[in-house]
Formats: sequence, C-alpha cells, structure tokens
Amino acid sequence: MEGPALVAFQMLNGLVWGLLLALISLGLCLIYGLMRINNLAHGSLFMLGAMLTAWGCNSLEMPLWLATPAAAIAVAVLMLLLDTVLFSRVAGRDMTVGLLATAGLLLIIDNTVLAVFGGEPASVDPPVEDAVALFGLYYPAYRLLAAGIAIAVLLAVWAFLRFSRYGLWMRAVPQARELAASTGVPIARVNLVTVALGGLTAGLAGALATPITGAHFQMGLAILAPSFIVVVVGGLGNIAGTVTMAIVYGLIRGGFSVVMTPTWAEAVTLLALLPLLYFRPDGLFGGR
Amino acid sequence: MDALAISGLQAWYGKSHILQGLDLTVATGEVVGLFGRNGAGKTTLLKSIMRQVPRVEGGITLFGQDITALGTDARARAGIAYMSQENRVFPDLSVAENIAVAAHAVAAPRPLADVLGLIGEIRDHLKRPAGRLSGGQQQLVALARCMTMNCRLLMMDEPTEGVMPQLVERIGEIIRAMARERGVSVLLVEQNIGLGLAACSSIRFIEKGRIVASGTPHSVVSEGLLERHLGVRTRVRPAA
Repeated sequence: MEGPALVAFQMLNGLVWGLLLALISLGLCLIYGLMRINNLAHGSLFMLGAMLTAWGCNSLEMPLWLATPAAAIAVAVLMLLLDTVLFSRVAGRDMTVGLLATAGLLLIIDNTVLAVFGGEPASVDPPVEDAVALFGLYYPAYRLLAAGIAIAVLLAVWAFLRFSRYGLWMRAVPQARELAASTGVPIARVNLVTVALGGLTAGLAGALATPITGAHFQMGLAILAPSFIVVVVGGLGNIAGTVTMAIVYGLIRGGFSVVMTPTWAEAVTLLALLPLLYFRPDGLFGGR
Repeated sequence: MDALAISGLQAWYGKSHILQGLDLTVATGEVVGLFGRNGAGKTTLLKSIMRQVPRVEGGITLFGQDITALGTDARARAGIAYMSQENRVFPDLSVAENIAVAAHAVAAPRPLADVLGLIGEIRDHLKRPAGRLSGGQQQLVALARCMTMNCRLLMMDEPTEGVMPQLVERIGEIIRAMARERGVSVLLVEQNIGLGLAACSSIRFIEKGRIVASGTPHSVVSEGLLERHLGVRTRVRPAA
C-alpha cells in the first residue's frame, strides 16, 4: 500500500485510535474534574477491559458481543469498590496523595493481572473479518464498527451529562464543590457514579481494542502518556476539550504513521503536542 | 419551636480557636441579623452550621432534630440553605440549571413558577450562563436556588456585598417576603447596617466567637449597642 491509499488508511487508523483514546481520556478527565485526582491507574482499567475480553472469549468461549460489555461492566464494578476503599479517601486531599495512591493501584492491578493471566499477549479474532471499500482502499469492517460504537457511547455520555440529574450534578460539582454540597447535592454518590462511568468507558475502550491490538498486561502503561497529554492539552477537567483533543491526537498520530513506524509516530505526536502547553498552560480549550 | 438551636458551639481553624462556646437560637419565621467586627466569627458560625469547618464541637438542632452527625449535603436536604460569600453560583451552568441543581437535590422542591413569582428579575436570564450576570443578578439567582430548595432556614453571608444600591433594597424585600409569606427563618450576616436593621426582627452581636448582646432593631439603636459593639454611630431608622 502506498500513496493516497496509505495516507487514507493511516488517517482512518488514527481516527479509530483517537475515538478509543477519547473513551479512555473521558473518564480520566471526569475523575480529575470532580475529585482532583490524577488517576495514574487509568491505563490499567483499559488493560483490564482488554484482558477480561480476551479471557472471556478464549477461556470462557463467550462471543465477543457478550464479552465486550461484560468486561466493561466488570471494570465499572471494580471501580465502585475502589471508590470506597481508595478514591473517596484521597479526593480533596493534596494531589501528591492521589498520585501515590493511584501509582500503587496501577502496580497492584498490573501485577495481579500478570499473576492471574500470565505475561503472554492474548489475541481475539474480530467478529467480522470483512473489509469495506472506502477512499479507494479496503478497510477492516471491525475497526469501523469499533469506531461507531465509540461514537455512540461518547454521544450517550454527552446526553447523560447534559440531560440527567447526575449529569447536571457532575457538571456542577467541579465548578463549586462546597456550593454543591450546601445545595444538597449528594457528593459521595456523584463521585461514585463518576468513578464507575470512568471505569466503564476505559474498560469498554480496552474491550473494543482487543481484536485490533490484542491484550497484554502492560498495555495500560503505553496508553497512559497519550491519555494524560490529551486531558492536559484539552484543558484539565474540560470534557469537550479532552474528547476533541483525543480525536485530533489520533489523526496527528495517523498522519505521522504514513512516514514512520507506529511507535515513532506515537513518540513524535507526544513531542509535537508538548510545546502547546508552553503557550497555553491551561490547555487549548481552557481548564475547569 | 426554635428553627435553629445552637449550644456551646466551638470551632477551630488549625490552632485558631474561632468560636468559643457560642449559644444562639432562631425562632420559626424570625429574621436574625448577626453583627460583629471582622474576625469575630460570623462567617465561621455559618460555615460551622453547614459543617464546612475542619473541627467543630457543640450541639446544633434544626426544628428539634439533632443534625450534628449529618454532612453538609444532608444538612442542606434537612432544610438549611446557605448563601456564602465565596461561591454564589455555578458560573458555567445556565441560570435554569443553577436552579435545577437544587430542585433535583431535595425531596419537595418549590415549583419554578412560585420562585419566579417572587424573584421575577431572573426570568429573562434563565438560559444565560450564571457567571456572566452582574453580582446583584447572581445574588438573585442564589436566592432563587435557596428558595427552590424549599428551605426552612436560610443563612446569608453578606448578600449585598458588591451589589448595586437598587438591588440591595430588593434583596431586603425578598428576605422579608420569604420570612413573612413562606415562614422561612433567616440568619443574616450583613455589613450593611441599614439593610440589617430594616430586614431583621432581631439582632445579635458576636465578639471573639460568642454572642455578647442582642436586641430588637429599635433597641440596639436606642441603647447604643451598635456604637458599643461595632463603633458605628447610626441615624438609620429601623423598620417599625
């Protein structure tokens, strides 16, 4: 593959990747906005979603359409438990406490997964092997399906934040936490919903990525830097900015992948975005 | 029955002992003005009632219910609305959303039409981000939010600070209307002595974290309490 077809292929790859990155970063952004916790273990939630999907498909012989939501829900349930024992205890405290606590959580999750599932990469066949004719090339249908699901979930989260009672509270609390509490908003329950939603979207991203990238216990570390950079460049706590930046990140990475290997493209994309923080320290879209 | 009864309240910020055994009652439908010099403990008292101070000891009952074990949000749902000095509105939410935050939080919110009936000035701004309104308009939004909560006790910390003179009088009217027509008890911290005397039915003076004097708006003027405790000579005539 070469020329315009290669460019189109890599840009589509970048778009798919950007949408999955948006799902991951969304939760990171919500948790930071609401609880002021930089969750270093967020990449591990993505990894856990992927590993559980691979385990469900390969060991339990579940179909992918069942293993995907099951893995995402399992990660969300884990986050509900973690809110009680960790997140609610470090919320509002010095940011270093949150960083140390979630760094410890990262090690616990990654090493537990290594102990339980082993260190060998796992793969899952996509449920649809077909390719779709698009921009003069044949593009894997599953990747388009994964992108479609990611868009649908992002829209559902937007609708939840825009129209539901908890969504309204999740937008209100980061703006004025004490005011929200003195208005009767149940802060602890709002935190719980936020943490679970963050786990659900990160777990789902991992599940959707499994037939594309496979699953490995260290894949969470690789996603951590891109996740943080899009949250910061998008504007800390700014949900729309984060989602937009994740998609832009994917497209830039796709563009670089035309002329270099994906690993180099990842590194160069990160380096290309860092100077933006010098000129716009609050991110391109402003922080919350 | 007392709307609010506080006994032996003590509060600390770190090693600073701000409230030192404060006793205070607010009767149902009463509008109590809390006067005191800077640093006397007025704001700390309101924050302590809302459990927004790191360390508080003492008894607090709301309509006979002991609320000392409740968190801030539970105290709000029990019927206390608090307008603080620092945060008046959720700036990025529209005015309607600011009110909806409260409406969703309490079991029996007051209907929006009822709220707009008393605070009609915000009707034309419902879709605007609250952070783009003037200081006075933001105070009216805050009042609307408190009213939506169907609160039984309204606590206000200097609601007229930075507000245009025309709106100061309007805020006073709304406070009186909430107490008179809706039976809401009010605890008002206010530097504007004129508004305090005009809006309140009772005045308490706070010094070094304790209530040191009290009286009616008329008596605190006639007996020289304002001059004694605040160093203020006033010709303000309290409302009859």
